[in-house]
Amino acid sequence: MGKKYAKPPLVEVVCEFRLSSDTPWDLTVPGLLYEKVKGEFPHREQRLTQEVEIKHEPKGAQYQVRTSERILLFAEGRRLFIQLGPRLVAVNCLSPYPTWAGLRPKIEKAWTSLVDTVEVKGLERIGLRYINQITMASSVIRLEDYFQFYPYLGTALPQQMISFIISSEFAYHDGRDRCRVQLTTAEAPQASTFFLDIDYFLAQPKGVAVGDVLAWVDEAHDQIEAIFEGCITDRLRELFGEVK
Amino acid sequence: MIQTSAMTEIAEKLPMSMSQVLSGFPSEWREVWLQTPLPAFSLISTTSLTDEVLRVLRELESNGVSLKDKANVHEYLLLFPGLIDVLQEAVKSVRKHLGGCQLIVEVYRDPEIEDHYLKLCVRLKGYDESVLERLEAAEAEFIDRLVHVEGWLQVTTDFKEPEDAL
Repeated sequence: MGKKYAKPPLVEVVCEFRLSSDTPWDLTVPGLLYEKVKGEFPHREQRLTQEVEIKHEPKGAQYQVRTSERILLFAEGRRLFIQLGPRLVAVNCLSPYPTWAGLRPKIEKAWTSLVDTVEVKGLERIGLRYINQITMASSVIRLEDYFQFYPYLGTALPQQMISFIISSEFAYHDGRDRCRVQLTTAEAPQASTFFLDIDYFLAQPKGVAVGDVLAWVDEAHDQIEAIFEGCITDRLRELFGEVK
Repeated sequence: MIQTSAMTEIAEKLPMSMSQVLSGFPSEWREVWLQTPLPAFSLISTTSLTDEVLRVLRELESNGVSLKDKANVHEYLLLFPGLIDVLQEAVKSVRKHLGGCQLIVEVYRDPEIEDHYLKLCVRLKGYDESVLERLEAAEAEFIDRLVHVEGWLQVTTDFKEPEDAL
């Protein structure tokens, strides 16, 4: 069980399921799925998005950018919604974060409704992503006071940065899963603002059996919690109002 | 295997942070990556609305659109993501019909009723009798899209001179 905070810095949590190409999908699927979730996600809209499609070829991965239609199903308040696209289902949660205990049932609802609607042959990718926005009142800070994941500057380099992006990927389960951790500066007058972005995903297509997906999501959440705590110091925990 | 130009196109679509990571590397390094069976560094992120809104707002600003009270615009698009594409289309339409104009995006709150919407304000160096007609023509190109989404985008002008800094 992770630490609890009175003012968690989370701005968005996303849980995304991308189904393998051999999973049958047609234009009726979003409507059928909506019928199963409309009790909790009653408001339906649609929009166009651009996304990258990966095809694994013998010579390597092939990437294509394409425009596709997404159906959005909103819960009351519009802070929680399901996105439906061709062989894609995602649950997005904007702040305030309802805690894992509040969000996990929604993810389970979306997933079990999907499995009840289509014959899922496999998962191309699963992702659980936590995006945190962290703001300190001062425009000049020492990163090491707040973070345990930040760029290192050798003594011969200028010691004051205007902006940076730092990103690392960690492998889990012999490379089946990966976790990308990214710390980025953001614009903020008279303050220091950062995005701490943690994206834990299934890197091996069909690396998880359909029946084990929710267990994967639970483990992903635990790993993200551990990574998050590993990235910050007690000074940030104070800022977030750790509940002891 | 994909070519460098296609990689650039993809990088432009990705969240800013990944685009910057990719564009910061020399092209010969990217070619090495592209030849590996699986990328050493994953190019695909779990889709995030926050990422998308930040990217779109950055693109608008880099294309000369001013964002008044950016945090409010950001929050509005998070709540009404159906407007993200409509806003981009509206900017294109307005530029097509009104040429070199200053564009300002803000969230307008009606002081008399509980209502707020996105406002795209157009400012020109000179105004003539054709301005309103051209604004209507611009609006006609995207207004049907508003029917299918929540939230609202209003294109208008306040008949003021463009400002140097907003």
